[in-house]
Amino acid sequence: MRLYTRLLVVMAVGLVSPAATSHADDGFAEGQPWGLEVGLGWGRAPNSAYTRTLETFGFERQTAFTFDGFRVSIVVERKIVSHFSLLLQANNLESRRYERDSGLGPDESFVWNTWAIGVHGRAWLTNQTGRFRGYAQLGFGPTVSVTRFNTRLDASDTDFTQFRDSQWYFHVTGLLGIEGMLGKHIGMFLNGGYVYARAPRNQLDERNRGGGGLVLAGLSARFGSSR
Amino acid sequence: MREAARRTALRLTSVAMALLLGGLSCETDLVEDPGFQFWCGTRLCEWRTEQGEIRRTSTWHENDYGVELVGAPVLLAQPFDRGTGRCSLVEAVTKIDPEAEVFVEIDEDDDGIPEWERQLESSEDFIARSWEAEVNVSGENIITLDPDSDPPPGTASIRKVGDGDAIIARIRISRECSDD
Repeated sequence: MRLYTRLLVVMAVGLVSPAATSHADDGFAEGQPWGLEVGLGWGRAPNSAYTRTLETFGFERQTAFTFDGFRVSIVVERKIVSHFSLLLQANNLESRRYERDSGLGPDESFVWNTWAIGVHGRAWLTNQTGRFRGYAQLGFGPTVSVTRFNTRLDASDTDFTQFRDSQWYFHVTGLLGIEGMLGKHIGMFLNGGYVYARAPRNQLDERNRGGGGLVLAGLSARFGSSR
Repeated sequence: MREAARRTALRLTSVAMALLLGGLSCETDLVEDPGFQFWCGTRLCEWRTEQGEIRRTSTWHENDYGVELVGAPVLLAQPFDRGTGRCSLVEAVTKIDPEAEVFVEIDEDDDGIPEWERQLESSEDFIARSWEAEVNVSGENIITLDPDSDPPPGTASIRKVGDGDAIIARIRISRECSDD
């Protein structure tokens, strides 16, 4: 958190500080229309009727060694008009693991992973130098949840039977962020927001709240020329 | 392969934690297939259908099964080794119409008279309930054990007497064991 705080302060100072030169640096978003971002962060999907049903059926959430709050994001950005760009953004949304005692040991498990890929619109404002910007973005697109249920179907089974399923749904994402250029082509960003994604779904027609809040920080690269 | 390694690591961690915490107690499941997952065709492999009709049904997952008790009366039973524990933990996950009356019973000495029984609550959705069943500690429920012979097996039963839909997703009966 300290790193995030420091980055926030540095960028905030950059946004409000008087410009060293009186005109914007075209080397940033206005001048380089293509962008690439790779972010890592943390997220938290809320519990829901879906997860409570798993607990009703004897499952316990496993958090040790699962890194289930870990989030990763990859973004390709293309400036469309001044102060507005379109993005193609891919995220992992959620990974969870639940385990249950089958009567022969704590050996049944239910695991799911959800990913989202979406088209986002991003509106931004830069500071006077053009090297820092703050932005808001909104996006939507498909999500896919892959579930794996490992269970025993025979007392003499030495191994498990695995049932794998893929479920498609949609997501809506809203993010606020800041970005600062460290050099002509490389920058850093910090953003956070909320993802609405009701996946996966169970046989009882209950949908998981698979998105939730997330915070991402990472590196950005800019290239190309408007001219 | 990775799954097996992970499970082994988790078990070793659990054992280490138990030893670290000084707890040498454990839990023994008294009935096989508490989740009604083991089906031999149209019947349960581990539970005997003593009376009536049963049907395999899906619960929260297409392949996590429960047993539907069709009509009435229905009686499912399973013998179990009593062991030496005094207290059993009974856990149930069920979805039962108000018209259906379903009981879970434990007959510790297999004399046909249950020492412990509970009527399972009706509900629109699946619900989980658990009880501690003390049946052989004192008073009229006392059972004298001959230390030189194995105790007779007990019987766990699920009995439905009323019409209405009843799905039993899980009946787990476990007993704490310890080194004392």
